[in-house]
Amino acid sequence: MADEHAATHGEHGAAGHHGSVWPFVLALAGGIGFAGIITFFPLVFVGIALLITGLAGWMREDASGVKFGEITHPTEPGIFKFVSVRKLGMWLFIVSEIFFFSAIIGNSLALRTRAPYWPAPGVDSPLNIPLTAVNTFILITSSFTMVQALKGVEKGNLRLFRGALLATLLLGITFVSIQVYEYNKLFFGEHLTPWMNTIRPELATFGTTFYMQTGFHGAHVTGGVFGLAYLNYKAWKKDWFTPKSHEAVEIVGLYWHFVDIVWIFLFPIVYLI
Amino acid sequence: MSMETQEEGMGARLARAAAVAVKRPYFAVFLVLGVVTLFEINVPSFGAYGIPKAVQVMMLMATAGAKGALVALYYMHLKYEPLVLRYVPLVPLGLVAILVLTLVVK
Repeated sequence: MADEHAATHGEHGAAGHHGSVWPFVLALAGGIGFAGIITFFPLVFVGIALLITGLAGWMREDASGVKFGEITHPTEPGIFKFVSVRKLGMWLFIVSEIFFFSAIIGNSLALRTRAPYWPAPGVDSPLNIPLTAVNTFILITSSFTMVQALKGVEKGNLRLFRGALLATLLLGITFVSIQVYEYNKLFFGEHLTPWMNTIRPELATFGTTFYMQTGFHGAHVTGGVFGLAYLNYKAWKKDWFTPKSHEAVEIVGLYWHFVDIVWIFLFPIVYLI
Repeated sequence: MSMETQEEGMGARLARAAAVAVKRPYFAVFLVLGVVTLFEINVPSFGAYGIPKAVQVMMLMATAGAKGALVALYYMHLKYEPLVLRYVPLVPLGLVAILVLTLVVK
């Protein structure tokens, strides 16, 4: 087993697969920080300190030239032999995210079935369906441009790669901007708040579930926008991404498409049902 | 298995993957996603034609499931990944269904 492991990793694996401790530090920061919220609040500050340390360490490492490796090598032995370890890591993260969003959506549905009043879409709902439909098209289009960027870098077409990647970033920023505009209108214009207010108390549960679902999704989109901004920055560096070495593009793309899928379910559940 | 044999095996796999890559229907998927979304936007108005709310909900969940599957299969490339990786995101879906049903039905 050890021989096979060494053979499949070769010189590539030594520098690539086990090269950084910072993702682990960031995961630890998240774990301690979130545990602090529900147990002992000062732990949150320990989490934040670790988060800053982890980010600084990772950025420093990144600045020194560490790259995502080529994708032409087998990785771990066993059933995931032909799956890149980084791609597998992103898929496992996505699995955890499926649980996260399912819990939020399930909780919202449970609250909805017990709520005395729920506004009907297109009748008395304060939500703007046409505007959000436009936002949905924007997110779908951004998924299309993301795969075009991947196609571009795979084929060595730098113009397509950079153009599509920039388009994805701009579409992501547009999505978040429209959501901020929508929140502003709903909060101040329609008195839809995440808590009960005296002007429209009947919308209390609706408001809570609306902001919880769309807010967490919006936060994930914002995170994706940062990832895309990083890719765009690296895309303009000479020979940083090549047809043989571009796994970061695929991995950020996986995350971006997942965020799209979450919205594909949230849009009908929150706005149309 | 020797390193050489492994590299050959990997080379063949990559060659097949490259051949498949040419046929990836990105634009067709994009068009389908757009058209289905247009349909979804109009579902809330189906009540005026006597279609019950429960049927509308089932329609929307079916279209959302189809759209999600298209993105996962073609944009996230699960269709072209080794079978074992396709099971990774499928595993939690059964548990998720139980969770959601428990929360809603209880």
